[in-house]
Amino acid sequence: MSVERTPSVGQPDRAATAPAVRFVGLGLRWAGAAAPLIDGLDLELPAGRVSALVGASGCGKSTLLRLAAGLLAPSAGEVRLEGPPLGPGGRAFVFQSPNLLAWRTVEDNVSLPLQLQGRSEPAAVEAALSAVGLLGARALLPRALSGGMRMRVSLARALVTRPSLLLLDEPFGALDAITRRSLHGVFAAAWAERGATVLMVTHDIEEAVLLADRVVVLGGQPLSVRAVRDIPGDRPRPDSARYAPAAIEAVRALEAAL
Amino acid sequence: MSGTPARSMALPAAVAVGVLVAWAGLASRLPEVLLPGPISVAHAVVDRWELLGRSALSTAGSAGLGLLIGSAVGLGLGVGFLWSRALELAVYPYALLLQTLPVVAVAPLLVVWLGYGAPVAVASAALVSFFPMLTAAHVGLLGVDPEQVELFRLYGASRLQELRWLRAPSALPAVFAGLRTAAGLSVIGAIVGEFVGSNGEPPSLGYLVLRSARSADTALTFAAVIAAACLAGVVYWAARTAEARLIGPWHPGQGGGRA
Repeated sequence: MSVERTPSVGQPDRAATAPAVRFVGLGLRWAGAAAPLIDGLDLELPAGRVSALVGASGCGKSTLLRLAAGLLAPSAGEVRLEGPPLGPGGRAFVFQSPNLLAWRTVEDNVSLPLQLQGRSEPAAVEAALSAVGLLGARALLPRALSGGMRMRVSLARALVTRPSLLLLDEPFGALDAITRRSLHGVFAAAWAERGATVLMVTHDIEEAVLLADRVVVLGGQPLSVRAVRDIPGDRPRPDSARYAPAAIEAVRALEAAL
Repeated sequence: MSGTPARSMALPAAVAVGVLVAWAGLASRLPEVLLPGPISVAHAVVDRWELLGRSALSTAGSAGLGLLIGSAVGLGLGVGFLWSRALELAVYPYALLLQTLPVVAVAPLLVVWLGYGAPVAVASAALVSFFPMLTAAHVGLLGVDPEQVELFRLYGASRLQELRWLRAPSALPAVFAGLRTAAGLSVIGAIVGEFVGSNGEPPSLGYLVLRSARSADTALTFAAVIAAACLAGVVYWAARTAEARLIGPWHPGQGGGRA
């Protein structure tokens, strides 16, 4: 998969407008549950960087992402977004399943977030479609797309409002290994260009080390931070970066913490 | 859909021919009043073409108007239930109760309230088509993917936007399934209303069936029954066509079939 983009993206300037995400004394207890799912969690995720949240399935990492998105309210503590206030469309969420509207074409699915704010910006839709390489499929219905293409539409829809906070809930989880690898490149390039703060939930440590600047291993009940590791080097990294000795060492260390 | 087009035409046609032959054979052994043969029924259709046509049109009008009213109230109440849990709790049990009420038993009451004439047929058609539409709307509007609702909430969508761009389109398959049921029922409802509440002005299929059966004009009864069946077929076909046009391109339930 070839992706056109400018070469170096260390700390893009748009990072200045992206928020840092800070969980402060965060607690969450489901109604009727004996023990809290999250109890007094403190964690900071840097502005304009990609952070990966890794953990066993069912540990509560997706719930943490929903809290950051404001889709769930914590029962204790708070989620602080430190930086300029987010406008409408300032945050975007990519679900594990693409969640496209079956009756809308690719293009109309991508423009939905703008439409919901009463905006019409064909240029933004065009740019988002082009970022994921789907300009040619704009008039198709989701039914005609492969799983990987649907996921790309879902990403384009998240990018179209130029969010400063991008939340991804296992976006590659339901895809086969080959599609997943080809999408890594598309995703990494698309979000690197925009300099947003990215929080990505995954259960794949190798994927986390390849795509993120910071990997956070979560686990336990209540949920706690098991390990935090910063991954040096510019993004997006080529797929071969996963075989670099430093990457392999990072994966080993993080797996030990899992 | 299974089989070749030729096969899917030939098989029903063979059944039709078989039924006609059996019918003619049986009718030749029985008095005309009990069972008129296909030929005399065809004669009745040709001879009373104008009366049959006017009656069918009037019944179609009553069924159509009743379906429209029943659907509007059913769909409207479905949206009401979506937006107000209190309304749903307060009204839904009675809507369920209304459905168990046989329209045949209520029709005489409608005559008391509305007098003789087409309004009874319209009201009775509306009564029977209301419930399937309400259930369809209720199930369809609430049965939305919760993550898609979250997506709309994330972008601060209003309730109206959520209804218009998410819930209404995603409810369409259920609503059309309800419409197919309601459309068939509305013809039955109209004819029941005409049995009880029609004085022959305007002429209607329900009235024609009753009057011809009473005056031992059984061939005309058959003709009217066939006209009623055709009417129900046309209504069903129209609902099916609208469904295929509107949701066919994206709804996977369309054009499926057995392996």
